[in-house]
Amino acid sequence: MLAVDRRGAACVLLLPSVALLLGFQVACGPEDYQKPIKDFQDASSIVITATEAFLNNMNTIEQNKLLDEMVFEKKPLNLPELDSVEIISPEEIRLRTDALSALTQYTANLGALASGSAGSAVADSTKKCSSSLKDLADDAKKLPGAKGTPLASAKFSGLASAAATAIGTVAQLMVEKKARREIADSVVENDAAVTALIEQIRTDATLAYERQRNQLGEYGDELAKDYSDELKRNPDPILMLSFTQTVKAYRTQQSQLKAANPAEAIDKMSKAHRALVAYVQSNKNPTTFGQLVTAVQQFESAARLLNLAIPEKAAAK
Amino acid sequence: MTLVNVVTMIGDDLTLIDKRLQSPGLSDADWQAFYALRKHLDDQQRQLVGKAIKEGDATYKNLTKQLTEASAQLKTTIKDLSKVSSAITIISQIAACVDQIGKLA
Repeated sequence: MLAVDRRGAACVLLLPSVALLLGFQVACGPEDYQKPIKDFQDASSIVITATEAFLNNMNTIEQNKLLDEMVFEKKPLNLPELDSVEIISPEEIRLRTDALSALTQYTANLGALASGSAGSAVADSTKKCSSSLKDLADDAKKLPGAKGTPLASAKFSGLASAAATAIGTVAQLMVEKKARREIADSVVENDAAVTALIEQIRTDATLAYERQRNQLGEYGDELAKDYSDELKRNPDPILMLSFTQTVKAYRTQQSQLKAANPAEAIDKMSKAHRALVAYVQSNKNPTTFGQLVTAVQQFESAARLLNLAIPEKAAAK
Repeated sequence: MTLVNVVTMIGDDLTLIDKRLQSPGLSDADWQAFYALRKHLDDQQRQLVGKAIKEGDATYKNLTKQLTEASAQLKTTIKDLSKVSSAITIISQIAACVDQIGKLA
């Protein structure tokens, strides 16, 4: 209580204007971290859903391409053959989205740590994040697939295992109720393994996004060709009007997708996570808190754009 | 340059080709030539995603340098309708580079 009083007095003494006083009271209050952490969790939920959808769509895109080829080459329809086209398996997708969920929870727990409100529930939850990642690493190890490819399960397993160990170290210090400074130092020391895992998921999302972007571009090429061919004939006004509607819908999808690269949102997620780590280390420094709020806001706006372009909405053609 | 960077660079090249294909002015033959190369490059990009390539290899570094240069050339050439055949040649060079990268797996 004394510490709170001192902190309040410091705020009043140090800040000359009412506006600044209000700003700093936000940073000094015990609940200050909750809003950005809640926003971080909400934005993360969108990113997890979108990443799952983009990764799922990787398979749909290639299956649709094969279907187009079958039709173009007048081959018999072979649905099992279409199903066998798989760039990334449902299990590999689950591992990535579950890893993002665990990392989101870990980041939220860091928020509690930064505020000084990390009790035994937060310690248990952090321990659970570590064991979840460990399980995911073990599951990834069992999956088949060539080593060294960008989507290799072996690489994912190694990174998830390293992140599990890193978070486990922090969790253990929390369980042992070590000094806040000691835990904060451990968070910083171990964070490279955590951000490396986020980076790997960002890479996977980049590949999925690239395929989605190209698929939509090809659809635009076909639309442009159909329109141009129709112009060369005696154009049917009804058909031309229908083309206009299709082109408008295509342009909407194109602009949404352009602004909604999941890899960019995951990059913002990583930056917000790092800003929170800096806040943990700084022991509630208002500057680092301001940087955290800004980083979370940037993450939120990237997530909002992403939400508009989740592949179910901008469906594969 | 990582393999993911290569995949993204091919994606950027494909977007440039799409812009050309979606603009008027190409003859039917040129449109078909661009479209065929686009399909080929698209297939190559998909195949790269599943390949294990040593990114530190000197040949890889040389090929990605060539790819970067050809992609930069494409950016300026493809906009100019009087340079259609040059653009087609550059896209063929890009495809050849990507093909060589794929063979490093």
